[in-house]
Formats: sequence, structure tokens, C-alpha cells
Amino acid sequence: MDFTFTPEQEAFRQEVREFCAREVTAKGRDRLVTAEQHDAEFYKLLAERGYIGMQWPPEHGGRGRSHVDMSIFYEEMSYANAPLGRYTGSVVFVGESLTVYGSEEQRREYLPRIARAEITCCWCLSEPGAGSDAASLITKAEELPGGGFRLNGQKIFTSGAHRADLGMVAARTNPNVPKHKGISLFLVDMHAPGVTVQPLWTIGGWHVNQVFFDGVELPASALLGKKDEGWPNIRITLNLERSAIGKVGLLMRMFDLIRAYAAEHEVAPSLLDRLTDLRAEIEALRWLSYRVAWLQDQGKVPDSLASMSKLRSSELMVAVSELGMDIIGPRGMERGPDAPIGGEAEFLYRNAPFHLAGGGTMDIQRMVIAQRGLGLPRA
Amino acid sequence: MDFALTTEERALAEALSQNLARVCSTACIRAWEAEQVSFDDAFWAAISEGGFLEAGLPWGDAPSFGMLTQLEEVAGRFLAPPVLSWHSAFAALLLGERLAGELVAPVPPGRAQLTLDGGRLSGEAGGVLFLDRARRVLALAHGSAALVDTSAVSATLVQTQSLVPQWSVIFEDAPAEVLPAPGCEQALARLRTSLAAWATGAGAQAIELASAYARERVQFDHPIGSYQSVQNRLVDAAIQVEQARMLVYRAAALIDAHDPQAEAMSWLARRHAGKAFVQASRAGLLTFGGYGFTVDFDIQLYFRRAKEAQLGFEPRVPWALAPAFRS
Repeated sequence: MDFTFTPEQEAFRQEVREFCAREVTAKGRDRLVTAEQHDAEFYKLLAERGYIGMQWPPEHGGRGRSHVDMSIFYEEMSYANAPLGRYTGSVVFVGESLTVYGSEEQRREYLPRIARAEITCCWCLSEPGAGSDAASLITKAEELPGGGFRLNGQKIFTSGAHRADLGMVAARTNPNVPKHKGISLFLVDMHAPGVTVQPLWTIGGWHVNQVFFDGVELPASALLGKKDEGWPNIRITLNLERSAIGKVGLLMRMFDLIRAYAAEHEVAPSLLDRLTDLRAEIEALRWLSYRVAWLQDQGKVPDSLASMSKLRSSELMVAVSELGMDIIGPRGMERGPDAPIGGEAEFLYRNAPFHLAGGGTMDIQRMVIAQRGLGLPRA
Repeated sequence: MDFALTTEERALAEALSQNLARVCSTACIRAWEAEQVSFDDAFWAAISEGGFLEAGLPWGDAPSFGMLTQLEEVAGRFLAPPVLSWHSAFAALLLGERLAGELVAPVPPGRAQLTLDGGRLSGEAGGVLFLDRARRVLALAHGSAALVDTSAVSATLVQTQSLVPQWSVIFEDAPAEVLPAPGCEQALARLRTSLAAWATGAGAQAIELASAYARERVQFDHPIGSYQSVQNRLVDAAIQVEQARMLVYRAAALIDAHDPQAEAMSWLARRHAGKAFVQASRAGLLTFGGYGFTVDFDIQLYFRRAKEAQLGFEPRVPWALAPAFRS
């Protein structure tokens, strides 16, 4: 096995690292520790450097980079605690989905605009009654006699909908067939009449959203993929979502912050033992994530490995933040940038439930691994 | 970056797997336990004549150390005695070409209190392997490697949880062939990594045995593997094993590249792989329910070896060897 990066990849890593050193200002970090995760100015800079949609072909506004390159980018950005904001929602959930199952017209229309940061996107899947069992969704898209569709329903836990220009919405187009059939995907103008976005505040200090579609008129061209055959594409998007590495770099950052703190303070040996265990796990996850990206570059769909990476890195968010607070002691509970290690352990501990549930709960990840990795039967 | 095995590597690993299926079945393992022998002639012939001992040797054009860890992972699946680790990864680096295929009985470095004075070795050591198959004992003392004829030591067979024969050895002013061991730290890094590969393979096989059983065993009218409580235990263990695999091969790649980070990575790999094997064997055992506790099912062979593999031959990793990712 060869763990080395090509000289081009090393140069790219250095470039991104230098970009972060220059552009990820304290202001950006403070914003992340307080409430807002999206920085429009920074997002524009990402676009100017060609980092948005870098893995898409040039004719679609990309740079033709690999998934390993994407992973390098994510690792550097998250180690720097950069405010990536709407990046993953726009690039991975919607943009990547367009590259896989969008029409050529849709790709040409949207991908270059996403890459230029002219629009950001959100992924509207979950509903109040359809969480892990996403195929139970009841949002309805009714086909109109003159062509096009009318959309009615409610979505929930929609990250970034309040900033999004384009929504990728799953809706039922045929209620008379089993629930995994009769679902279609649509590209929806989030500023269209009938679209209402309401915040749903989280303990992280920032909000996800509820989105209401009240008789939203959609042109026929809004249909993404084939009518009634959206479910397989939803699974593709969920896989893309699980493969997105944003966590390992942050775990590495947290480890280094906590280790530096521990080196300067008196810390119980049992805590140092836990710190050592975490070091091993984070290292392992780092390479597991690169392996997933490398397999994707080979045209494979490593769903079980991707779920392993997603599941364990999310769990380590909890473990590393909890250990940070345990090592710091009572002051580890303090919020804000003046707290020990900039309040990052406390912030991550409070936000860890988002990582545990986002992109499919831990239970769903375990089901994927059990069935597709270990070959165990469905319930 | 390339996480795939080459055609040659796959062929060598497959050849070892086929050989071990023949000479190291669980029936063989059980027989060796009952007879309290390390292994038999057929096993040694298959390993030594099959060219597997040459992998990772630091001379000639032997396959890489990474290949050795691949092979030792295969060996771990069969619970084969870890001769590749102790012979090819460790002893060969200390003794060089003079070893020439001879299996020595290694003294685990963390389990000995020895003094070496003027070519005479004194002291005690525990956990010595392969004493029934070796002519000489290999010990590290005062930065040197000492070879002592087995007839010059007093040895007692010690029964442990694994029922793998191990000896407690006393050296009483025993004459020793003393050799400088400048590559001692490197040899230990190779040994840790290789044993971690063995534990990774053993953990992976424990999960496979349990998964196969969970697909077949029906309770409440359904295969037990369809129940999430059963699935989740195996999944969590499988993740740990997969992580261990990445650490092992990362450490092996650093060793092959003579990278200074190799030592720290070898500690982390061994620590995590031992933990993963314990978790996997326990998850596996529990999947078999009451049958797992009986000697009739093979999963107990894995369970009884896991803790021993985790505790290993030296103390737990010092936390200072868990370096920062970036300074």
C-alpha cells in the first residue's frame, strides 16, 4: 500500500494551508464559535481560488480534481477551523448529485454558478414524520395538466435553507405505489412565491430550518432525474453526504489543542491514556477517509467504509471534546474565545449531536455497515 | 496513493492462506494446545519452505516489510503462531543473515530482567515462545543481543489463558554469543507493527465467524443477525478492526520508508490493534450466545488469545509517543 501523496497533491495541500493561514481570520473563527457558520466574503474567496466544485470538469466550472484532492482540501480547511458554511451543502449534496444524475442542461445551468459562489444550495429531504425513514416523506408534487408541478409540504432540519438560492427537494409524485417508489427530486428556486423558511434553533447556538412549500409552481425542467424514480438517487446523495470528510481535520485540530494544554498542566495519567487512544483512532480515521476518497476515484462506491468513517469520526467528536473538558476541568465548561483552548472543546461538545445525527443517524450508519459490510440480513 | 495490493502481493497472501488452511486449521490449533507444543513440523515446513519467512527481511530483494504485515494479518486470521513477527520482523533485523532460517526462541523485551557480563547472561524472563522448536534463545540486554543455547537455561512451561505454550526462563551465568544490536529500536518497531497486523487479522476473522453464525442462527423466527442489538455490537468491533488495519499499514509504510515517525506509529498500531482484537473477539463470543462459552465452537480460540495479544510484550504506550499532528 502506498500512503504517499503525489507532488501535485502535496503542493495543493501547501497552497490550501497557506490560503487558510492568510484568510481564516480570527473574525472568521469567532463567528464559528458564536453562531454563524457561513461567511459570504470567505465563500467568495473560495470560489475565486477555484475551490468550489474543484472536482467537476472544467466545462461545468470545475478544475477536474480528484476526491483525494477534495479530502486534502477538507482536512486543511477543518484543521484551520475555516467557516466553510454552505460549502458542503452546495458542492457535495447538490452539486455532486447533479454531476451523477442531473441532465446536461441542469449541470450547465447550475454547476458553474455554484462554482462561482453566485448561488448556494440546500438539501430538503427530512420531514417531521420522515427522518431516518426518509422514504415515508409526504411532501407532494402534483403534475399539472399544462406541464410542470405544484409543490406542497414541509421539510425540517434543512441546513442553510435561509441562505440558499437553490433547493434540492424530494417529493412524492405517485402516492399509489410502495413508498420507495413514486418519489421524485426537484430543483426549486428558494426565493419563489410559496417558499417559507423558519429557523429551528439548536443548542449549538445556530439554526437549521423548517421549510414550507405552499403551492410552489415548478417548471417541468425542475425535475431532477426521472419522475417517480428518485429514491435510488436519494441513496446516492446520502452516500455522497456520508463520504464528505470534514471531521478528521477538526479532530486533528482538537487533539493538538488538547495535547498542548495537557503538556503544560498537571493531568491524571488515566486522562493521558485516553488521549493516546484518541491519537491512534484519529490517525486511523484520517487514512480510512483517504482510502474512501481513493476508492471513489477508482469508480467504486465504498458505502460501508464511508459509513464507518462517518460514524466513528462523529463519535470521536464527542470523545475528543469530552476529554478536552475533562482535562481542562471546571473551566472546560466556559464558553467563548477567552475560555481555555478558545472554548473549542465546550463548543464541540455542545455541537456533537449535530454530527451524530446529520447525514443519517448513527443507527442508520450501523445498518449500512451491517448489511453491506458484514452481509447481515435486514430486519 | 494506492490502497490496493499488487498482483504479486495478492498471490503471496493467497499462497499463505492456502498453506495455513492445510497445516494450521483450528483442529491443528486445538491439537497443539492439547499437546502443549508451539506447532508441528508440517506447519514449520509450510512456512519456511514456502518462502514466507523471507518477506520483510532487511537484505537482498525480499518483499517489503509492508508485505510481511500483510502475511502476518493472514496468519492472524488462522491464529497461526506469529513466527513471521518474531523471526522475520524482529530477530532477523538483530541477527542479520547469520540467522539463515533458524527459528530462535525470543525473550519478550518488556518481560525480562537480565544482566550481561563478559559474555555471560543472568536473570529471569517470562513469556518466551517457541522454546520447544528452537536451539537458541534470543535476549536483549544492555543494548546488545545475546544468543544462549537452550540447554544452558532452566525453563518452566507456564499455562496462560491462550494455552499457547510459553516458558519462564532462568539464565544462571549462561554463556552467550553477544552481538551488537544497533537496530534494536527499529526491530522493536517492526515487531510491534507485525504483531498488530496479526491481531488485526485475528480480530477480522472473529467478526467473520460471528457474522456467518448470525446469518444462520434463527431465533424468534428470524436470523439473529437481523436484530440491531446483534448487528451493532459486530459493527462497532468491525470499525475498530478496520481502523487497526489502517494504522498497521501506515506504520509499515513508514518503516519501509525509514521514516522517523515509524516508532511512534508502531506503538499506536499495536495499542489499537490489541484493543480492537479484544473487542472483536468479545463481540464474536457474545454473538454465539451460550455456545460461545463452550470449547466446541472456534470463537473461544480467538477470545482466549485476544487479551494476551493486547497486553503484548511491553508496557502500555507512553503518552509522549502520541505526537501532535502538527507542531
